[in-house]
Amino acid sequence: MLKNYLQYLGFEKGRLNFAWLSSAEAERFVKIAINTVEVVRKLGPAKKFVKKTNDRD
Amino acid sequence: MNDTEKSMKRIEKEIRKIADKLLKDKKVNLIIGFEKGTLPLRARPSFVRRPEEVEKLIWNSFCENNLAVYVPFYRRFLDQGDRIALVAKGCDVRSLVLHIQENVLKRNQITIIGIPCEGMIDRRKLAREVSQNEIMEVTEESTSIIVKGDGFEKKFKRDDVLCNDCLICTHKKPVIYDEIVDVEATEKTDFIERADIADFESKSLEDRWKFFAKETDRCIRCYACRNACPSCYCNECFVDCARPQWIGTTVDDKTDLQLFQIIRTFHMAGRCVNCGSCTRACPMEIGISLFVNKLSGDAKRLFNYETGLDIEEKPVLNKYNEEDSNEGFFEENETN
Repeated sequence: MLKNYLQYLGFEKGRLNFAWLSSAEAERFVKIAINTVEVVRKLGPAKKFVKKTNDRD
Repeated sequence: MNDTEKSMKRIEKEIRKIADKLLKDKKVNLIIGFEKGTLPLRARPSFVRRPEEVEKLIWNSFCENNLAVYVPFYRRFLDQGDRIALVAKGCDVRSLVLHIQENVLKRNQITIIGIPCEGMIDRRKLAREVSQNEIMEVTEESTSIIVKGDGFEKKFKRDDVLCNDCLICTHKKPVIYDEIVDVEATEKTDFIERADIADFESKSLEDRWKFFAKETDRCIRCYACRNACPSCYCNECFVDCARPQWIGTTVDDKTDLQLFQIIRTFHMAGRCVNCGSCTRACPMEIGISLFVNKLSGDAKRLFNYETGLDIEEKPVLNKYNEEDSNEGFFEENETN
């Protein structure tokens, strides 16, 4: 629901990713992690919803 | 006198009669209803404790507040034995059902005076229609409403000036009640999604974001939406929390405004009864319900759930079912 909602408000589809897996599914975890990185890399840096950082930072 | 006016007057009379009886029989010590507001087109919440005061109570097409919002405030007193009666429309009752589901109150702690409601009139729509002119007087007819002001008189079809949320109302008749004002009422209808949601969805991602950013840009963080919302009753709201501070509290950074709106509305997922109180309360006229209604639509589409219909049921996101939709989760063959 959150993913749908954010898309509805105009966030890119791959910006938020969920996966449902067990701690025993190591291989699947690797696969998902690689996939997630790929998806996000393809999207590039976020341009929306970026907080201005403080001057002292 | 015509039909609607007659039935409005009848409802008003009935409310007073029921209220009087409840107070005299000492069944309740507080009745929350509506009284005349100081301006035309306004009715304001009224708290009646003595039988002499019941004549204050009114009923018309401007009793727009969701009165269930007061129930969490009285929680402590309810637990001490106070009893409250609430004059409640279809949506108010659904909020009460949600409160019962979420253990804010017990069913026997509240007396519901149910009012079948044919929708409330959006005073902003009326105001827009008469542009700069001030409305001084208003008369209701069965399917129309006449507004008068300095040098003008205009008649509107009731359906044209109803609140957007009332147009998609599915339970005009209260789902539970102790006393009900017996007038003809539209029975339950099927779930309707707002037409402008489909319109909004058909826009491009960028346009949607632009619109959302433009709307939330106006937010002044007055929290009127939060205070008007019966589902928003956390003792400490995430925006007020200082340890840790989740979110900036100023309007300087636009992302704080966006974050506030996203999080507050998302907290309504599966808990919103579409009463439209947030939108009506917003002084900046942000169309909040366009966003929240999407969540209600998703709750219906994914889980076939509508909020606040059955006191035995749990809120939809508190339940888990193996058959639940996996939409939005990573799947093996997915190409994002």
